[in-house]
Amino acid sequence: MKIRSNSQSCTASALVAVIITITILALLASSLVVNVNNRRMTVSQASAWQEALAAAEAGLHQGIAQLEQGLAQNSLPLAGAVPITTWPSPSPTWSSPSASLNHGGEGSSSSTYQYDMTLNKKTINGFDKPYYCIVSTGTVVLPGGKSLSMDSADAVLRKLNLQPATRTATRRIEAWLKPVYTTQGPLKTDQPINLNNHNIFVDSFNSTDPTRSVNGLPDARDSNGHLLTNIGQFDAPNFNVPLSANIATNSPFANIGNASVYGDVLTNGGATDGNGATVTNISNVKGEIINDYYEPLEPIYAPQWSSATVSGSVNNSKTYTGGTATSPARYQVGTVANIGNIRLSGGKQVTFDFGTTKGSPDRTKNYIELYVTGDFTTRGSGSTDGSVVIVNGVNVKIYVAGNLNFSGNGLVNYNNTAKSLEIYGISPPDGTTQTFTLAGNSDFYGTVYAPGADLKLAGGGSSGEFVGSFTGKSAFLNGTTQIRYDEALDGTGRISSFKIAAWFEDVKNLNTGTFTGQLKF
Amino acid sequence: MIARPVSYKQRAAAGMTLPEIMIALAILGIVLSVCYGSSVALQRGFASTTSWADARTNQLRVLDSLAVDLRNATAKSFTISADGLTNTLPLTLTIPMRYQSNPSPSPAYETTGPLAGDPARSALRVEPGVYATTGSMQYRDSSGQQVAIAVTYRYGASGTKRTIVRQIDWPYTAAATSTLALSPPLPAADNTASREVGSFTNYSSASLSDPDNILKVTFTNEDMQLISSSDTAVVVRIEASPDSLHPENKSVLNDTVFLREATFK
Repeated sequence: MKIRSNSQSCTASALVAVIITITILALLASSLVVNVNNRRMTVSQASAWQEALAAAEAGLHQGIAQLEQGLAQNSLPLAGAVPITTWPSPSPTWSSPSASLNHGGEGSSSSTYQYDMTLNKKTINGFDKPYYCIVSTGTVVLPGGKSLSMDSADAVLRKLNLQPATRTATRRIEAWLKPVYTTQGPLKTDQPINLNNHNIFVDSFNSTDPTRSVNGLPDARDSNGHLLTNIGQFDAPNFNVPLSANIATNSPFANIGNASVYGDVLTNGGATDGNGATVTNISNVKGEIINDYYEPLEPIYAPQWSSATVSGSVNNSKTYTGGTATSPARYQVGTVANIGNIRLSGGKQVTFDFGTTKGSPDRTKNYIELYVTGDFTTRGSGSTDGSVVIVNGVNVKIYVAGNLNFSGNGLVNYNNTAKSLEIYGISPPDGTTQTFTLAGNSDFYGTVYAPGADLKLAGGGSSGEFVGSFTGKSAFLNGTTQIRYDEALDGTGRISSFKIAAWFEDVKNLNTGTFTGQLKF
Repeated sequence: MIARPVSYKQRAAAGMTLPEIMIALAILGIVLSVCYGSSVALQRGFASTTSWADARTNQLRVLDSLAVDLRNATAKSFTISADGLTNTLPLTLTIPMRYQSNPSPSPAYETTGPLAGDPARSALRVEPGVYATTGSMQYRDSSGQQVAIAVTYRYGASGTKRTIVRQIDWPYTAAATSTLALSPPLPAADNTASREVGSFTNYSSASLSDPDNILKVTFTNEDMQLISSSDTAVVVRIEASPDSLHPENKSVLNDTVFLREATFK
């Protein structure tokens, strides 16, 4: 009889014990690996999902850049003979090619974006305004393995595409952009604003709204045209209307000088507290101090007219007569090679009047455009009417390449509407100083857009109102200056930029259609 | 009887002596205790890793979900925390209703299931228009009323877990001339749907309604102050307690969300 060895039995038991131990450890380790891998997948997929949003935003910014380039080149995308369409007729759409944004990463070295841009024209208050819709899609290839997070809630939220050929995280955003005009807001600058007198006030009214104006004017006057009140009527808190007289600067610096501002003060990073305050003397600001403002001020280039009446410098009284709306009368003082100025002194006067037909004033010929290649100054006392006179019913655009100074007896615009006079400061070369000064006793009705000029508004006496909209490189106001912004200006002037009016992320399954970019009403 | 000397083989077959057994048992005891200790430590470590990973995953999901809705919202209504220093849940957001039922009258949003609150599979988009008075965008229903949904994030409970629930109610309407901003208590809407977006185990003896030892969601502006209507960004902070032995150890996740739609509007 063969006796079984005990040592063999012990060896077998040890083997079993080792196998069981290894199995348990392997199960523990594999469970840990699964857990860690799940966590890794969740993080990497969430990161890809976040990056897809950044890619979609990049597409949106590219679209906005395309619009800004169109503005600079005076050729907006899709513009031209675009009819105003009504829902659901399609408006014109342009689709961008897909573009890649490269980066490092495991299994995913780039993200891509693609956007569709649609132009809709909307008629508001008689003006056709271009509204653009940009639908941008960002896509990022998913890194790592094929598995999803173990929690289905992650899949519900992120809606990742796990098809073998296209394992991607995709997000889509829709943004609507509305035009911003040079005349939106009473005062805008790129550099600091200085309101240097507590008697200054800035308010708004609407010349086309009888409940927000007095016969189209910002305040009540007696039969002699004298102010019956010296305070903004339509933005005073008692009237409970929205404050829209916002003054804005791309700089962090604004001295409000305890002036009354019936709106917000917007700065780019301005601070109001402590010794580091950059927005100061704000006790009479009726709205809020907002510090995240930035709005690019598009430069103004010299007009490139195919035909114009060119003259030399003007030092004596002169009358410019108008043309029709479709063919305005164009005048140019001087040339680029031989700069011309308008300098009025004494009783000299420049008048903008109707054109004539058969020797008689023709009220349809009421559009005048004047390009001054040098300075435009009216320092003298002028006539009893003023140094620059705009006849009632005449619309004037003035481009000034040099300095502008309307002081003395100033400018009288018999239209008593700001939209009838547009003054543009042609942006000077870098390093060249340009100054626009509006002063004197007469009321000023008009708009000024001079993004390269230091703007100085100085009221005098009991008059000296500035009714309209004013934009400059910087602004200095003193005296008893009053800026009365006319809300009816919105839509007049030039488009200076586009502003996002709506932003929405489409969370619906991306394979089932998208927003059309069409205005419904 | 004469006793014969015991051979080596015979002694080995006869078993171990008592001291040998005691020594063996002692060694075995030490080995087992070490194994047990290691096993317990391993288990704790594993459980801790799992609970931390689980909490972080849930925190990330809640944060992402909140961020999507905050970006889309046109108006927001936060609750002020008990200490008055921060905003917290419940949070109600007003979001334009960008999806409509198809076919009518089926709901525009999923009402049940894991996708509850998401746009319905067959829903159609709602295109905007321009409100001429302000030049801003508006979203209207077929009767010309502005239309929006309310999205509410609130704390919930499921068994021993504290949850974050995303509930949507729709539609809410207002005249074109009105401002549509919803805040609790919300009036009853025709439809409602909710789902859990995060679930957090209660490792403490705290009540599920106690925010400090399970999960806390707070909101501040960028200056760590209460959020005002003019703020353009919200700092979201999600604080969980995933450590079963030390609930005071917090897993904190925060992010700054730019309120795009509310700011642009």
